[in-house]
Amino acid sequence: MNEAISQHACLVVDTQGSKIRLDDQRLSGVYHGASSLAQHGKIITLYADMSSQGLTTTTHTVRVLAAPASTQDYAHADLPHNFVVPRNNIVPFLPSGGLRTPSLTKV
Amino acid sequence: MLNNEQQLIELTITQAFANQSAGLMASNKENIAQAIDTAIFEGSDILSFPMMSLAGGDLTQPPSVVDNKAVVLQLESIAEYASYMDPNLIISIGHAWSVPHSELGLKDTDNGLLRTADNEISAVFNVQSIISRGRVYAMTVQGNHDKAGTVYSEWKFETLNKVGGQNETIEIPLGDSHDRTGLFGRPVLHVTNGDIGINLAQLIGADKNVYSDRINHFNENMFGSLRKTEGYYSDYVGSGEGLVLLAPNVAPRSYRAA
Repeated sequence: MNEAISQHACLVVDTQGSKIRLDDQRLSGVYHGASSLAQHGKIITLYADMSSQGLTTTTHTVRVLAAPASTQDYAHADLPHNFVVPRNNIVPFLPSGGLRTPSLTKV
Repeated sequence: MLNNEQQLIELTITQAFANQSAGLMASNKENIAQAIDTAIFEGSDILSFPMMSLAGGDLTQPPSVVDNKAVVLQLESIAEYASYMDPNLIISIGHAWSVPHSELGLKDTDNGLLRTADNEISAVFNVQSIISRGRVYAMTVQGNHDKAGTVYSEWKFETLNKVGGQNETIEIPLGDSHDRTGLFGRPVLHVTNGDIGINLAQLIGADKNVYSDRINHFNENMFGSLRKTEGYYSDYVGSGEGLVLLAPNVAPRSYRAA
């Protein structure tokens, strides 16, 4: 397990292989976009190892700035085509448990 | 520098790569189960798979028929297995998903002429589902393809303005009786313990290569969606912190079963 401890406002988990060049222009979009969204301007990106055969896993532990618990509601409204519109697309799920307890312990 | 109101959380994330084989669901699910076991052993909060990891295949070899019901059954089966092992593990996994043209307001002569299991002309999207606790919560849909020739549809404004929804996201039934629904489009999932949390979103494949400061280009990808409401992400999800973006890409090459 790799461990990267840092204080970042935005975490990007990228399944592109670690062999991809970080200065690849094609990747600039995600960094530009994520940086603009992160109020504190810092992002951290995790890359996976790639395997030509079988199963490969890569695990990282990081620290990120937490979001305050949202109090926004989530509403349904009937629409044609059997679609239902969320009032917003935020889903306050796992309200009673959340992430595993250690993860949401202040650090 | 943190101020007194800002809090840190610790996340453990496992990224799994498996060269899934199109048409070989048994071995594919074995890889998925092994990845879940590993993620749980390592105490992960999130397990992230590449695109199309559920059934194998790639965007140049689309299935001729996409059976959404079968996809949901597979996703729920995986989610139930993971939930039995650890109810707090969140999994991101990719697959195809079909939507009939009639529901998208498209003509049958439009692109993406694949069929659903009910033999309806449909668009087929490259989708990444977020599953946990035995159920499917949301599906993020790819909006941009960088390879010519793919028949996968793009989740674009010309489609979105016909299906309604908000923030490029609609809600779809996942079961026959509408007892289960999920978000479809560009959802942001707020994962919380009631005190603090994270905002979880996804950028699939070429979506991550597209970024624009132009506010009117909100249809381009998740970044545009996050920015369009009152301009900025913090207004959209209530906080500028805690954003976790999963960016699934292609898996190692998969092979169609003989």
